[in-house]
Amino acid sequence: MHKKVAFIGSVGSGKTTIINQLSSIDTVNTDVESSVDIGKQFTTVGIDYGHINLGDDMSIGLYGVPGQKRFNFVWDFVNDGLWAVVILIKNGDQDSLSDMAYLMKYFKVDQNSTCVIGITHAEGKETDKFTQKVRDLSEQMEVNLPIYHVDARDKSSAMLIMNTLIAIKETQE
Amino acid sequence: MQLTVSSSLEGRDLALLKSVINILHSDYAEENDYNWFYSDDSQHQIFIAQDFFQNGSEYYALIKDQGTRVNIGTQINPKNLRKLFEQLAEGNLTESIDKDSTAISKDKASLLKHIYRYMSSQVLIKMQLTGPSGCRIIIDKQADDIVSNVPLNPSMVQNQLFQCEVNIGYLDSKKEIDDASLKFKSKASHFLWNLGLMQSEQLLLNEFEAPHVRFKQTRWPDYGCVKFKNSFITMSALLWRRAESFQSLKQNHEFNEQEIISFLNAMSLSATCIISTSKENKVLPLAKKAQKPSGFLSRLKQKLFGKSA
Repeated sequence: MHKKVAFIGSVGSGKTTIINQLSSIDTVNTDVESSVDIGKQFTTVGIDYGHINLGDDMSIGLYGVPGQKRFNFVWDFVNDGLWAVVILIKNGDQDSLSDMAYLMKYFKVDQNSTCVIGITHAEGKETDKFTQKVRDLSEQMEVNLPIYHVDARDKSSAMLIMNTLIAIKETQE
Repeated sequence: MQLTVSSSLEGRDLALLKSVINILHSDYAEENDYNWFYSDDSQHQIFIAQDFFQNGSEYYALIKDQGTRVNIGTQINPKNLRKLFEQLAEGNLTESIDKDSTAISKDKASLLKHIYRYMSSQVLIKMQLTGPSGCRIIIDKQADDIVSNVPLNPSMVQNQLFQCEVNIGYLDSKKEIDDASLKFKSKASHFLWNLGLMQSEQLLLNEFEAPHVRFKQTRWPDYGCVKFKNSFITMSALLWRRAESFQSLKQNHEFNEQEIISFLNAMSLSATCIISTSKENKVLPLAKKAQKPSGFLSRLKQKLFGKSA
């Protein structure tokens, strides 16, 4: 049994870092040197893949998927048999917000979905206005999802996301 | 006295509301009598509306003068509307907070009750707490800010707020605070969440233990920013889907009682849940007790969280 968790977000939103925190194997990634200044040297252009092996042929695949629309051919692959979605939004990044609305529609995220929204790059500078924009957008989509400020470099943030996905699955009636 | 009602309800609900008001309205009312009117404009004193959540909805009345919200129940009918209007006319609805009122709390339970009352009130005021050693804290729930002249750490809360007399007062919400000593600022909701966690012996109000009192999460707490135990996330997921009472959380799930109390207190104080006290509400029993997680989920939990899973 193989289940998929998609970590979707725009450039520099922390997908690769979170998958690295969780994966039992070395993450397979398709990072290349960034051609624009995004505050780091490498960024994901295709798909990242990590893996949590649970034994007895059970595993969770952790798929890091770029949030930009031009990568929607990758989304189709991940969407098939999807177990949970994690949308990562870079604090203060308007493009991430636009991507979020599109991604939620594409992945058919609704109130019953197993989905967490993580706002990254906000350590110590959480802006209520931006958080409120994320909440407003979520409400416009008629969903009331967990919205957390997370630090992709901190393993406890990755665990919080997984813990929430599990709790949502466990309480599904 | 003229009492004007307005509403955002539609269809059958609005027709019912108008018909009850028509019955209560009298063209021959004396000057001292209460008389009821319906109006579509904003000159109303009472506004009736409905909150929707996933497994139902809740009707409520906003009393403009008092700034209070009164829950009506999961449905409206002539009986509960008449009762509401009669209570309003008699002036015996839930008491409101006057900005000139003061109080003294002598212990943790009493302080937290005052803070809960402030947080659940719709009145636009700030709350001021003054401790024995000169500590001053001002909570502004509208701005979600808290300012103080001392750092708000757990030992300060324990020693100066929970174990001493604290003077409680209120300030006009529009009044700027001009006190340079109030240099410590943080998010009120985070501080209040932590205060709630520090009360694990009893719920904020005794009535919250009653089986008809239900808690429904309106917003997921930002667990990336506040303290939590793993069980809180599961309780959040439950209260996200359906309203549960303290009793139902205790009986149907395997949560530790103290953790339930801390969690519900933190949720109540930080205004991330609504609390329905209507006796007409029934907590529908779960079709079956919460089951052990599937093999896949339990393995995943074991893998990620080890023994604490």
